[in-house]
Amino acid sequence: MIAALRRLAARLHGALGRGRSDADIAAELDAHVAMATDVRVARGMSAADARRAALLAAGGVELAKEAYRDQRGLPAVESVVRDARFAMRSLRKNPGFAATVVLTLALSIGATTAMFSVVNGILLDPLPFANGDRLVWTVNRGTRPYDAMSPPDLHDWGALNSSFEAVGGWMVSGVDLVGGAAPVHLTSAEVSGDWFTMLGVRMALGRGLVADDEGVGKPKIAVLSYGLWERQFGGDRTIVGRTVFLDGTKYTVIGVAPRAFQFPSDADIWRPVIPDPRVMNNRGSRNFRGPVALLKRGVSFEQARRQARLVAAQLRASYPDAEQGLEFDIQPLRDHLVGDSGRLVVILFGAVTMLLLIACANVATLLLVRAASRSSEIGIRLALGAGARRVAAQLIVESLMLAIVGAALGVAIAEGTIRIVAARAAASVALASGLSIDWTVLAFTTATAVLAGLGFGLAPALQAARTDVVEALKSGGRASSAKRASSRVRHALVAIEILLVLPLLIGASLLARSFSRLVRVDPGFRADQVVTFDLTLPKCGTAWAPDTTCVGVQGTTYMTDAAVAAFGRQLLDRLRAMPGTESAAFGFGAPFSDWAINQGTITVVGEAPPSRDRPNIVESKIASPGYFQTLRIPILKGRDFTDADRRTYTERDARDVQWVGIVSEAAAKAYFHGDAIGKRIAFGGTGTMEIVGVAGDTKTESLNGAAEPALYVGFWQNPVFYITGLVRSTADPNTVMRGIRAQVAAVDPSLPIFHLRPMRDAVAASAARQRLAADVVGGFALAALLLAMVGIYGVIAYAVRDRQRELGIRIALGATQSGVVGLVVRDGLVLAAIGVVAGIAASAAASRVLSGLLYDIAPTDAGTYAAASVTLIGVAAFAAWLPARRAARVDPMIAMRPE
Amino acid sequence: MPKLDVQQGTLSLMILKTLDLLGPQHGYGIGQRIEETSRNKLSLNYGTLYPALLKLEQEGFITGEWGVSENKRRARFYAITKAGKKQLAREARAWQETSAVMGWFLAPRRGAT
Repeated sequence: MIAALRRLAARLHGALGRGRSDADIAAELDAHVAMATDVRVARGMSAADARRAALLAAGGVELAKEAYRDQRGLPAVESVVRDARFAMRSLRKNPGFAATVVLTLALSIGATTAMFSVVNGILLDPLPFANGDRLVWTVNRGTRPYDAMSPPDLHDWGALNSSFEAVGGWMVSGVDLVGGAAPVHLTSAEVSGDWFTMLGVRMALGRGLVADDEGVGKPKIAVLSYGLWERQFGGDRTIVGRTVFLDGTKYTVIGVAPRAFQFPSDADIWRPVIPDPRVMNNRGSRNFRGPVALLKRGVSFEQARRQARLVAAQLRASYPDAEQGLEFDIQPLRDHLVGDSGRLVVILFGAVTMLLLIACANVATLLLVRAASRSSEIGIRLALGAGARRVAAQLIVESLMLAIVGAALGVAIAEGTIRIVAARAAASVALASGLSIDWTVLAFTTATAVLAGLGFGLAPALQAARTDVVEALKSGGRASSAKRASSRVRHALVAIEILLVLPLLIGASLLARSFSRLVRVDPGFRADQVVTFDLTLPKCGTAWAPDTTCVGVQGTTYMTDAAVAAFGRQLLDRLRAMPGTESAAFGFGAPFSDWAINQGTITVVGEAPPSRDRPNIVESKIASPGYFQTLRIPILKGRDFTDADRRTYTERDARDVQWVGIVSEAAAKAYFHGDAIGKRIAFGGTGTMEIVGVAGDTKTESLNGAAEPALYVGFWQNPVFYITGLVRSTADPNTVMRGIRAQVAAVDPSLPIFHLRPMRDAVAASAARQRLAADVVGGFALAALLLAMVGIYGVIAYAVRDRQRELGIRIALGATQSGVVGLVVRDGLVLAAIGVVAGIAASAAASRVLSGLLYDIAPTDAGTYAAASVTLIGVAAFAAWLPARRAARVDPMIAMRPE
Repeated sequence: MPKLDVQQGTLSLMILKTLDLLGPQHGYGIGQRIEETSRNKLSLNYGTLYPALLKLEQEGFITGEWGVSENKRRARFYAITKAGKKQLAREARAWQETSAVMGWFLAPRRGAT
């Protein structure tokens, strides 16, 4: 055993060329013969005879050396090294081929890995929970579909259900934090139940929240996200037990969530839920987002699903009024979270697969072409006694070398692409900064490419091993039946490439055209030159749980409408006084702000109250005077709000004030028969509001959505503590943003402002998904087009070389240059046409996955299909024309000269 | 007189024994000595001998070094190592046992007693 190991070590040593050299061994053998000769000479033989006899006795010198060599090193390793050297030589002799294969592999491996890493990193954030497999999301599939539940429903959902180990819901709100490095606005999740234990999260520090922490009068405690802890508290490990102010109320930090944990997805801080007693028993409310539930061990998903239906039936029976139409269903939490991104991922997988297939087809084509052109070389080597296995091994080594170099270059391309994407996307996509190469994907794509290379390197190799030596030499590179077969395979591969490229090309143009139409949509307002920001004015506690110990943020509180209005007046005057400001306004529910849109129903005085059939739903918005002017929303009829539309904020003015409102054109048409001015609507239960104006429609959440009916009420009559500021200025946006920060700080330095950005960016962010899809598919399509071009070029160039004699004869017989070019290009076009016809059918089937991402263009848009097909055929013609032109310039004398 | 082929595995034993008895020897000398000891029943061409020497050297049972022969020729001299001596003892015992067993097998049968 030890001897065997020692031998292996010594042989490895020898294989690497560091053992005894050939010369050393030859010298030893020479010495042997010399000594044997000496002995014979001593016995009286002549020197020549003695030497001959000695050689004879010793056996064949070369044979001995060979045996010696085999023994000395590891023949397999040595031949691989030799093959690699040979491959290097032969590839260097044909740099065009090597470069093409390497570039093809690098491009496909690089692009595929980069694109997938990006989308994987941004969209497919995996569930970093230990209990991820047992977590389910509750869906209400009834007549009131909504991913939320009322507090009593949530209670019953857990209590009546024996499939669940735990149930938890959450609410999200914005909150200002003071006590860290700087005042910041955070997203706070108020969660119910044993939230962290249910998800299976191991806290980074301290403890998580438990059901016992809930309820009025319990201590105020909070859990920080890892990111918040690092940003605001410098990762201080003594944070547990410290107090911070959230909207002016003192909270004790009890723990820090682990780094990867983000659920609900944008939460910075978690607090125990404080149920609002007013909705505690209201089954119609929808307070709790999502309920998430943890299946008991051993309970199957299907069992839990059946029970979900039973629970819903039970609730319907017990509360026929409130729970009418209730239908519960569950889905794995993972599916729910991937949800919307799923379609993009499907598209991406399709694109990745196609690009990879195209690259493989390309490499295969190139290797087949090369193998065919080398059949006589291989024939000669076989004739000279090379073993068929050695020849095959040599070809495999060559393909592998190409694959390795290609993969290495691919990693570089992927790395570069990801850096560019991360830099470009960092502003709009939260996770983009953490992007890195997905090594699993890299391994997968590389393995696929290598296998393809091996497969197609091996097929011709095996064929070569079976090659009839005489036939191969005789034909000397001209057509034989084996070669005709391989040329059929090559032509089929090119047609398949075209077939694969077309769907990518069509998909990319559909997405690009859709995107350009989308951003040219008139949203009903002008975002250019407008900078927006959000802020909330801290209140102490809530109306149902006032915090008597609250001191406000640095002593300032905004508990009354009067305080809010005073703040607003002061800030607005300062913003209007900034150099360059054309107009400034406050609003709530402004287009493309990150606030949730409030909805309400309106009752027109003198008409029937809203019913289930006519719910009279409006988006309820707040606007200060100057709002419509700032956003360039036209007032179509009546008047804008003025500073005279206000209140004195005293007890009695709630009765005396002249409430006014403005409706959007869509609302005027839908609920006022087109004539809204002067109509009164019931408002807030206390009085009625007169409609004094009709404003143009605007899109609120997305460019591809419809403009919903809207009702605007005046800011001075309804001062709210969550404000979106809008400043239209001729100054540079960065200057404006700096100015806004300074003015807000001048009024109240403790206020964090957030979502400070040019309004254009907010609008663009709303189309980010479409843009990402267009960019990604566009990138793939471009890469695919390049690869297909290379593939067609390779096949036609080879065919031209093969037909050199024939073309020479044609030229000699008087064929014109353009005639010859036409002949060759026609070959390429036939392949392209076959591929395109099949590709159109494939595209029509595949483009259906795009339908949700397309705006104002059908997935089967004929113009796009035609344009993509023509482009592809044009590219194919160009790729065929390059070698055709060379063929036509050939001197017939040279072309026909026997080889 | 037909010569015998060297049986697998026996050659390295013969080499080790030769080196153990005679001290450092070059390849030619080892070959000569083995042929003599076998009373010329064995013949070694160097396609057999030198790979066997290399193998033993790789296994660390012998070491090889260039030196000068009795006829003033440059030759590679092999010497047995400590590990080689152990191996020799082991192999010799095993071989003796094997040959004894083979002897019993192949001995002409005695009449039934």
